[in-house]
Amino acid sequence: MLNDFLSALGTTLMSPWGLMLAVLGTVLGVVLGAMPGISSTMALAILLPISFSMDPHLAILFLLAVFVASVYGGSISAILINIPGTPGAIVTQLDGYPMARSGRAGEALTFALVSSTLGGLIGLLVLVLVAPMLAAAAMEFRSPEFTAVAVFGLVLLAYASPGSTIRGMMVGGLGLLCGMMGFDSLTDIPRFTFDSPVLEGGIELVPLCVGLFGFAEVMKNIGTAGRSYTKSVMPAIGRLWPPMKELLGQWKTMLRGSFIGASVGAIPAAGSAIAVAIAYAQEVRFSKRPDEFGKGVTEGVVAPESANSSSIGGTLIPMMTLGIPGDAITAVLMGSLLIHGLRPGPELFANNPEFVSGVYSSFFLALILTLVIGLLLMRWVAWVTRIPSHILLVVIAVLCVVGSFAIRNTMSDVYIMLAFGLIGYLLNLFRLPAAPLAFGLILGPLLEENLRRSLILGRGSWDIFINSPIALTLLLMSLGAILLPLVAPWFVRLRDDLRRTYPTLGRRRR
Amino acid sequence: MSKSTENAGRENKAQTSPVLDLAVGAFFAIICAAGWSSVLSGKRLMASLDAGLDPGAGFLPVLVLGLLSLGAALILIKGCFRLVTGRTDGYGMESADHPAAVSLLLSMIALCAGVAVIGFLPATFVFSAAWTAWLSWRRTGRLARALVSGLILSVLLCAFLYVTFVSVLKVPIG
Repeated sequence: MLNDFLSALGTTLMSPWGLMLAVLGTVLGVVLGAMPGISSTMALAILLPISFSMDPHLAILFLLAVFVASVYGGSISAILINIPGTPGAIVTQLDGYPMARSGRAGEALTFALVSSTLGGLIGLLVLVLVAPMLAAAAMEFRSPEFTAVAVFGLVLLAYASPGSTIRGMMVGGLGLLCGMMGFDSLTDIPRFTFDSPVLEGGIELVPLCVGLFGFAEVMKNIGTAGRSYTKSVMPAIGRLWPPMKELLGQWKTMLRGSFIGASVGAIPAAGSAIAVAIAYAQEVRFSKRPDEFGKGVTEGVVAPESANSSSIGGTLIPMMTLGIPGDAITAVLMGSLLIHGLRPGPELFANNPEFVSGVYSSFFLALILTLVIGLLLMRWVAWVTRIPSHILLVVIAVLCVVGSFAIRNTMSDVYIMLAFGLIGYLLNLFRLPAAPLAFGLILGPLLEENLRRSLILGRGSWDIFINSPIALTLLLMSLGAILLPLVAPWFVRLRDDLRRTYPTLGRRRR
Repeated sequence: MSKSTENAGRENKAQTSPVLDLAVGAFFAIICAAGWSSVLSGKRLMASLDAGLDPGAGFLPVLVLGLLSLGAALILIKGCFRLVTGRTDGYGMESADHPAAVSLLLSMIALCAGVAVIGFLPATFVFSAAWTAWLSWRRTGRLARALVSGLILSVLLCAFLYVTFVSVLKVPIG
């Protein structure tokens, strides 16, 4: 394991092209992440097409560099102008901005960068330790278990997505339908093609992601971009390095945040936003001065940033081992692997272990480069938060078109991207989560192939799912996740009624 | 810029307004109608449902469409019921500048059409110059400055696309 990791790292370090791509990815990630309104998902989606012509190892190196760096980049605008660059940095601003206002902007950025690096390293460690074990266990899975994994993944992804669970699952169902478009792989029967040559080839994940997470954002924001604006007051960066004693004194906070981030990140769809919220809340609970949180305490920056970065390793676990994207960002990453003919899952570990080691080493290199480049750019990167949003939006719109075209050099993908941009816009308008659509497209083929194979193996009987303890457990958990939001309001109402009827019920005995 | 699409509905754990319910129900109902029309008109697809042990290519589409239709119907019924009973509270639709969004979508379609006529880079030049100039003018109110910024951005963007996609990545957009 360690030998493979070091060998993959050495190969990357010896390759000037690889190093250059990693540096370029890191710089782009920091800059894009720092721009308010450009999430890590959007940054990856618009840069994904650049990786198409690369070797798979270099492509994943470039994209992981963008991913890791954009996670740190998101904290820059959160600290400097009180606008989180990425959803994961939403909690960092609570204490980061007050720190900046009190003349400690440089120190807050350094705390964010160092804790982000340490958190990322712990996330990587968790990934390296857990992923092979989970992949080995998943190697024992057969079609019924994979069917149940796909169902469970889809339900869990919809459950953890914002908004109503049932509506999230319906958007996931829409994604499943999108995944069925084109010719059926077993029987060659056309499905949902509407006699259109554009749809006969099916829907690729990349134009869907570019449309859903890139173009939909542009459509949503274009109306406000050109309006008059008020310039944010940017505080002076000041001193970069905090006293070493203060930095080293944060080790407990960093470790707590990192383990929370890695654990929460490993739950499909929980994502970094939930991880940082939990890490921050825990830090307030552990603190001896909880009243000072929100007024510029260092722990308020360190805990969420550690969790934010360590959640990357966590989200990669279900993606790498089971082929279930941990969140929208890993869905985009998965799109890149699929483009290169690599399907994440247990077989990737068995058939392509050198690629898996390459992912680990790329992740490690991305973290180190983010630390180095983050420190070098710290004084200058602040200006990117001042780029007018209307210029950004026009550039992103054009990149969405060119990027979609570059997948197969056909305008069909551009039209598909535009269609999903419109769907993404409508989903936002209707307050529906967009990510389950991508999850449905990814998990659809896995679900259908294994469901049909299971039913063939079971000679048409559904008992095959009951006879497998793993499949049965996962299906029951899925059912529980579906039913919970339906029955929870009844229980709450019943509890309230009981309390009204019996006022002494539930009171603590003195 | 507002919150990202991937986080849409983050605050939507509370009750939704009947208008939003009806809109969501109608959205899924339209998709289901299109899906059913495609499935039911596909004779080979429907015939695959009786193909022996394999549940067939039509099995999952029918199952998913059935569940989606049920969900859409329930949301529509909920919306109608709340509207009739006068319970109109709850979150409405997300606010957005629809004319600007539709204009952008139409201009993107025009860009795609323009690619076939004048080529990728010239079409992109026209698109980016027009949008940047318009947005800059709306932002500053200075026409000359807006036109210049539109021209500069378009030239830089086309140069970037040429170098990155045509020269380095060999994507045929030149």
